[in-house]
Amino acid sequence: MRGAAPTIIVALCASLFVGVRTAGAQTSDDIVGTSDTIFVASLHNPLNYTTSYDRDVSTGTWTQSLNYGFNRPRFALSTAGSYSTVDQLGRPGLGAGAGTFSGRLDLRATKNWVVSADGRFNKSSTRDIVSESTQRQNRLKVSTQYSVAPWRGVGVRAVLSSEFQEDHSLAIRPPGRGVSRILVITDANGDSVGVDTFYVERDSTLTSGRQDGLTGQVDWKPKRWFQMVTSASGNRVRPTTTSHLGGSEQGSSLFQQRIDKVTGSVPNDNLQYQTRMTYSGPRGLVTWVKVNRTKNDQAYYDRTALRQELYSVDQRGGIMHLEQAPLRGLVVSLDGVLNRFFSEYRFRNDRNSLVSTKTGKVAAFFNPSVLTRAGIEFDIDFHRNSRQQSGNGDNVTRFLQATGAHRLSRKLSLDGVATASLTSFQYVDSVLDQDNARAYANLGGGYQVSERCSTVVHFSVSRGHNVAIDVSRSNNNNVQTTYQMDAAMKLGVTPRLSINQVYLLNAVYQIYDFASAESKNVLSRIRRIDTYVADSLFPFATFQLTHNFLSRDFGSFSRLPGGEERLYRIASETYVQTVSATINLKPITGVVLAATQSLSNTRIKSSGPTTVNNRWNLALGATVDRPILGNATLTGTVQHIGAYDERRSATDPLNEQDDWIAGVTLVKDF
Amino acid sequence: MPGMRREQRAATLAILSLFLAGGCGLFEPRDPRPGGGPGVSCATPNSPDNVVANVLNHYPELAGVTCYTDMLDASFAFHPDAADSNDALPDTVYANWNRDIEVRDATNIARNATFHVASFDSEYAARVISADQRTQVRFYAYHLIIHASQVAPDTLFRGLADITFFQGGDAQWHITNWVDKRDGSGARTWGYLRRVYRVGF
Repeated sequence: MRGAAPTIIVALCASLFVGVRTAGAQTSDDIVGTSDTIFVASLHNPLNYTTSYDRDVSTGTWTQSLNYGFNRPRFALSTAGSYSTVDQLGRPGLGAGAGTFSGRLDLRATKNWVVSADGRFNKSSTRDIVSESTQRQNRLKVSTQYSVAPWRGVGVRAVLSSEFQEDHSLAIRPPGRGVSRILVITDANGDSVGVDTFYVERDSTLTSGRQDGLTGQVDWKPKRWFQMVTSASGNRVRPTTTSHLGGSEQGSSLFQQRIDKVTGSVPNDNLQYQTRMTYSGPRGLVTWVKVNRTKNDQAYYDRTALRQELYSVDQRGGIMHLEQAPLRGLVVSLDGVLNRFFSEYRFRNDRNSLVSTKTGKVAAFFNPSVLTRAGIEFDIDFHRNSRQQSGNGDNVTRFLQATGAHRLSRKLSLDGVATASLTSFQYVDSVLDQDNARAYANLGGGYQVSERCSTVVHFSVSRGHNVAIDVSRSNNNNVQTTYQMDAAMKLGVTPRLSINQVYLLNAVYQIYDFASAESKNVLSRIRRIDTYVADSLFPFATFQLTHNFLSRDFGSFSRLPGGEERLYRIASETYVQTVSATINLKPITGVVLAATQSLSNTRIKSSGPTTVNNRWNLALGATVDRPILGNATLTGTVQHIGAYDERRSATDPLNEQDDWIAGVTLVKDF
Repeated sequence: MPGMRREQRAATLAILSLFLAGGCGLFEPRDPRPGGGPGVSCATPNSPDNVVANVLNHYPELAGVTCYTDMLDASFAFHPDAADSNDALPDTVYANWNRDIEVRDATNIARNATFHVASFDSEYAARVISADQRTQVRFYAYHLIIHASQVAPDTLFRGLADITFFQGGDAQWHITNWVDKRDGSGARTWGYLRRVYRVGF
């Protein structure tokens, strides 16, 4: 940054003062700073308030937000605030809260000059039994922006900014629950004479600083078919951190205060650079290239280790996209990505990492008419992890996919998809080496007799092979093959009465690679039929009857000693049937009352006695979606779910469920 | 290919490319090294109980880590305790914690751990079962004992885990959602353990 900052400043200043033409409208979507468009309309947005409460089995969340803003030809104002709290139900006093308030004022002093003030204030807090913590973040940024168009097809924009930053954090732990920290003991001369373990029960930290920054963008469009946008930004902050630690020394119950003050001697520098070039050629040719570079330093207070930490990132990358339509209905595309991301910590060296990524993708999509579509895609990803304490190595993924569909007639259509992939983990520590191969094919079709009557059927097979390379893990290598049939039928008996059925047949074979693991080979089969009958009795009431049937068996699928064929020996059979009836009533517009009663019967046969279980379930609920109080809108649902198991003996548990679930939102404009 | 339209030629070329890519060993896994150590027993996940058994038996185990990761659905997401997430800031280590991240993270833990015990001690709330019986949410209190150099001196990890099980199109059960919470013990959570081992991905 130190070397690059002057270059950026000179380049941007030159761009600013060379300009003689007035700035035109920006031609790029990647605009830095404030867009011209917010000043063009006189727009008043009403004060909007939204509040919602969501309750599930374990948490209750209350969220409120308030927004206001207006736009004028000379200035624009936008403000927003939101706060949400999460309470742990059944654990009073425990939970979390987070909120933000932000405001922005933009003033157009002249046609090309904009002055802005931007404030953001965030707070988050958590409460649990062993700690209470609060973090606040205050930001106030003042910026000035100037735009010029020095030549035809060239736009230049620069933003100079200064941001005041404050971060507060406070954590309180009960006596005896302090976090241990090693402190250096110094004598009267300031020389270290030893170390001491200090149990921190209260730590508060204030980090403050001013971040000065400069951002610039040059947009060059010499021809209709070519555009280049370059932007660069740099900023610097020298933060000061003061920590107050309170707690006790090892073996002592005496509460003491310690103060650590760290004045940033090394500034935090942030530099970003990005260029994008776009070329549009004949016959649908579109190609663009984007390169970027980011260098960031971020000093922060590590609340886990209770010390000042510095996190540095050096990232550079490039993306390329090429797309052309050589034939009618055919689009061919090519994508490539190169990326290098190096992250480094001053103290937490175990989190340092360098990740290099190369990815490529080639695809072709053929869509000559509404009756036919087809596509083919091949992806390859290469990731290399290095400079880490562990997990260094390569991860390579290849993926191939082909899809197609064709409508043979007005009623009959066919479709299919096939994929193959291989993910290979090649670590420096080769014990973890593993290859995962997958293949999948699905073929099926649909037949539509009429608008109200149709059916679809699909057959699929998938095969997964996990191959651990090292002998310490390879004995578990196995091939899992799944054969499946999915079918669905829709029958509209009358305009009000409809019947839907979904069928599923499934068999999963898990066969281990090594003969020594023959006894572990298993087969699992499932049959499932779901039936839904729906009837809209009256305009204000509907009725739905559902029946779910599931049959599942499972057992070994292995050769007996000396045998040739694998035999299936069922170890367990399960049958589950559920019948449920639902009635929905609409007493007034926008309000629906619902009640669902269901009974689930589970029967399990295995080597022991057959077990039978009946579970009753009753759900009562209401849904609202309607305007109230003039221009306010209330939407939401409230539901009570109760369930229990039928006792077969007096000592059996009821396994009762008694839950309220709710989600209600009120929106009002003032 | 005389007589063929350009579209037909393009389609033929694409199909030939498919067979070429599939047939030249591009998707062929490597052969394992000769030999073979002790295997583990991995239950077919045709019920949520089998998924739970595989998680507890194989979570931080080098030989069985694949069995654990096979229990995760493609849509798997892990959500840390809010306080753990706050403590990690500005490091957004918990962001986008999907199945791929969990697989690599669990593999790293398994490689580093020298001793491990995982246990779901109790269910602190009644299960929530969807009307079609294909989704279950279970609320577990857990504890883990892990001896591993990267998290030393911590060895005990305790907390609450709200786990969602979903029966997918292949009729097998997988974990789609895992919400981690602190309990009142003051011990580090499973989420903290996971966080330490997410480096470089």
